[in-house]
Amino acid sequence: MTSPQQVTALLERWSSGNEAALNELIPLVEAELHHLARQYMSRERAGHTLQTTALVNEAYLRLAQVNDVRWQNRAHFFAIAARIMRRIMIEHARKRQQLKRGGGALRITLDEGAIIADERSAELLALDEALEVLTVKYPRKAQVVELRFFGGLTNVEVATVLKVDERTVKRDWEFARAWLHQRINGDAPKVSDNG
Amino acid sequence: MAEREQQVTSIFHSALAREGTERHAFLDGACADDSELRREVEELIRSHESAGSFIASPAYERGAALLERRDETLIGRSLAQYRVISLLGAGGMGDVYLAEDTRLDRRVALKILPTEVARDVERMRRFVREAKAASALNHPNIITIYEIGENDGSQFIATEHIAGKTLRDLLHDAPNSLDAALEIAIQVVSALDVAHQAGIVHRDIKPENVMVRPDGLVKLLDFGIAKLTETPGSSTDTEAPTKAMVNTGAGTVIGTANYMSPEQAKGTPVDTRTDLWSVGVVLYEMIAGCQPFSGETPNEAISLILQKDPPPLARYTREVPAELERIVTKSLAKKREERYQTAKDLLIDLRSLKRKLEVNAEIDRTSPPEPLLSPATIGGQNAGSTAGHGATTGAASARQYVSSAEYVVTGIKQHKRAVVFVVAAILVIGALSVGSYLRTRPSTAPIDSIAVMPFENQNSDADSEYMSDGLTDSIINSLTQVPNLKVIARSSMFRYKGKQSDPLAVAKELGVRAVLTGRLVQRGDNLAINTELIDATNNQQIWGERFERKVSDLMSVQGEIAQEISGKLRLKLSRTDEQQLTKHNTDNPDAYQSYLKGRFYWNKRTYEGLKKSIDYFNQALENDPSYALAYAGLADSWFTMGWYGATPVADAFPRARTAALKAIALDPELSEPHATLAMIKAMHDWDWMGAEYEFKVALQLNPKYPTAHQRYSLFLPILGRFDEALVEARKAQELDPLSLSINENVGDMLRMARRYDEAEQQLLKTIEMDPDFENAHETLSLVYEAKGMPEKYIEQAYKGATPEVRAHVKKIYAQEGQAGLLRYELADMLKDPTASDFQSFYIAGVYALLNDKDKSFEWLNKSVDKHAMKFTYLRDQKFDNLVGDPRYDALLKRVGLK
Repeated sequence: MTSPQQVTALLERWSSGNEAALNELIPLVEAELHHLARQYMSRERAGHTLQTTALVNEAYLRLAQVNDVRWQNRAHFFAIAARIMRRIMIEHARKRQQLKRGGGALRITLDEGAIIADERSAELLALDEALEVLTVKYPRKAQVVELRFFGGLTNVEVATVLKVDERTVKRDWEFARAWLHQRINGDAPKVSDNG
Repeated sequence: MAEREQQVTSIFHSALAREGTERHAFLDGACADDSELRREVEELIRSHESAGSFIASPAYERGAALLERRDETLIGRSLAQYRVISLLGAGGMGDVYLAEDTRLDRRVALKILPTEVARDVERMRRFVREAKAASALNHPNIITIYEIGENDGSQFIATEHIAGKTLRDLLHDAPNSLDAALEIAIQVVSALDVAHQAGIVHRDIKPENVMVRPDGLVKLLDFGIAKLTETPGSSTDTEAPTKAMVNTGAGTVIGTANYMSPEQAKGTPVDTRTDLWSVGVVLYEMIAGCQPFSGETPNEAISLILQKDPPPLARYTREVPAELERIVTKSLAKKREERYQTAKDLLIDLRSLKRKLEVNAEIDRTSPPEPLLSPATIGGQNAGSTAGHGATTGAASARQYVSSAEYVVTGIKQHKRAVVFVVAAILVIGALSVGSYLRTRPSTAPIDSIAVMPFENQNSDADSEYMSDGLTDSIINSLTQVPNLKVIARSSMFRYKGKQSDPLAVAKELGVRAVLTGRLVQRGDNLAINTELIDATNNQQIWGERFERKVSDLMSVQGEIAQEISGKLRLKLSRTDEQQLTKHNTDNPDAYQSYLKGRFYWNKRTYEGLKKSIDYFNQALENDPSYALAYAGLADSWFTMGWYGATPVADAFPRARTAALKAIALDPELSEPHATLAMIKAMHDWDWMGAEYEFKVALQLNPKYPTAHQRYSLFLPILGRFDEALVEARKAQELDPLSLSINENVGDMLRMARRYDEAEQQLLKTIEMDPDFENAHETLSLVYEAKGMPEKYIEQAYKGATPEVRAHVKKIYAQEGQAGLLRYELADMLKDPTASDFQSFYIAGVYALLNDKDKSFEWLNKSVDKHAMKFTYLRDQKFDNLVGDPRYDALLKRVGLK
């Protein structure tokens, strides 16, 4: 059992630049998220949607149990959640694609809100791949996307995690979105005509 | 960021800040003659402008739904007793895994239902009912369900694992021969015949739900699954056809429209004839190699289903008997009234067609030998002679029937077991379901009383004893929640611990109908628990089961066992009763383990034991800070610590109170903390009304909690209500007939009521149960003291003393009489008046007997000062001398008793 002190200490170590702390944190947070999500789902009545923000918040409160909730730590915690969410969603999307079976029967896609449907998973996989490329070229911009899209963080929160100002986050987002959109939906990269 | 990237970024943002010609001009300048840079930036700008809502809303909200799905990580993991081996397939109604039942060493197919389905109680209830009913049909062509269970929030269905292919896969591999197609259809329809007679409609017949074993045996899957997809009222919904399909799925990729009947497509109610339509579609597909109604979209398929007749089979294969064409056409009549009305009718037609083909084949075979390489013997696809083809597979199918018959026999055996498992897991249905199992047994009156023998710990290591004891405890506790069931309480049963008692003798001794025995073996992290429930009237086993679990699953096993037993006892449980039965108050296995250890040590009632119990309860709370029972245990430990004088009451009682209040706050339904709180309110706070209220609450919450009755009996004499005290003491005794302390308490209450002869009898009986039980000797000595029998008094009071001390005391009595004896005792007590907080009270008692009122009041007030007064015994005969003295009234006034 990990104590809140440990989690807090790890969060602090990570936010002050210790990347190894992140690797220790991820499984802890993930286990807690799984646990909470299952608990929620088994308790909630049908028709309720599980709110990720609420979930991550509760996981944070449970794991870090800080009375004076430090804004910084909280933002970092959400950043971890973003990474976990991204991985989980991508794994799931990949699996959905693999399991897509033929058989000639018509398959109907329903209830998109609940689970990622097939075409959605293709989209997600494309995004993930594009994001990988973006990371190589523009690492911080890619991080902004991860935090906002997979982690649901606001610009202010992203700014806290990345230690930049909000304006930079906005600009990064603007650029990254255009870049990713172009990469995924635009024409295939053209061979440059004159050098 | 590299220089180039920096350039791109910066130009991009600056360009965005400008518009129209200004932007153009800016780009001209910024990119100069680097046309690639310019193109890149321009593309990004275009993309920016056309991105719309691209990734605008975070995906993470959908992530939460995935978090609770366990499938990504399931392989290699365990779900209840099932170890997941591999994924067999994925469907709308959950993924199916191959798993190993580690309990019974067999392979099972495990379907994990999507949580959003599983948590819909009403839907699950309908599904379970249907699935169980179908499984109970015990038909060789219907898959056997072993268990419908729940593990850590996931609902799963364990069924027999069929090593075969789905009809879908077979159709994919190669077209079916006519004979094979008929054989499959016959087996499917004969399953439906039985199901329909039982009032069960499958609703989702399609090749995916038909499994074919290598030996040819067909198994129909997923009975009741379609039920899961319905929402109440959907069957009568007449809205757009798609509505019906929307209702068939809470997941993603759902149901195929192509097998739907017109009534399903229209969203009107289904009946047994709906299944026969779908059989028609499947049969058509097997022969033709394509579906009768298939469109590009579901809507297209639906419109075909509703309006078009399929092309005749003859279009696809040459050798289609006219009779088969007729059967298929009749099955696919749009109007139900024109279809086969029963599965039986369809079955008869299919069988007679098959027989006809076989007869033809027989004729062919007895006719002059054909050339060796005739089309028939090559077995080509429907080529040449259909009859010849039928002959070869016909023989094969005769074999199949033998194996089916064998299967019926083993299937029945298996089925019985299956029912047991199903019962274990279905909280919703509970006791109702055992009927079918019990019907095979001679009918007897319901069993209304049970004794749970202490589970044997076969590890013979004391470290794991808390588990066997704890399991016994939990099962006893759970069973006390069953209405109309008399359950012998813990301490009575623990008298048999470690003794090789004959369950029948125990049953007789305790006057119960049934006895549960159990053995527990731990190997590493694994637990094996064997249980057996015996009917004492005929020495027959009512139920026996082996549970193999992880140590961490201990808490679910106790609930399961209790559940099964109550089922076997044919006691109907209400929903709340069931919840009570499986309640463990914590989801944390470590916390539960610690709690069990805490109770184990608390029950030892030694100073060391109490200290340990406190440690364990605290440990449990560390693991689960909202574990109400652990707080209740902590309250009990601290109270007992104080009450026994092991810890100053000023320390112990407030701690007990805090813990009890915490327990109540966490779970207002628990009886235990109220009983503890009541004692504290009385003995420490002198809040007599408050205390009585708490007792009433405790007893209302669990009228079968013996300790609450016992403690209440200790309270009532304070208010002079001796008769009621006796009633409560006897209630506790009824619930826990072998508890030494409770038996002693009955004697004590008889003593307080001054019914000394009866008290003597009761205490002698208690001593007979265990001659070493000191409390009983002590209370008996007080009876003799009150009766004025000093010799007998000495005999009992000094039972535990050395022979020298006893001889000395006797000598004093002989020489100085009773007063001398009292003075001797007093001197002994005064040697250490602080021996315990309660010592003052005992000293006051001796002074009272010596008629030294001053001293007696002095010590009584000291005792009150410390809040360490045994108020129950203030009404003891020995204090009679004080009654009438103004100081006595003042004392009562001081504590609010006057």
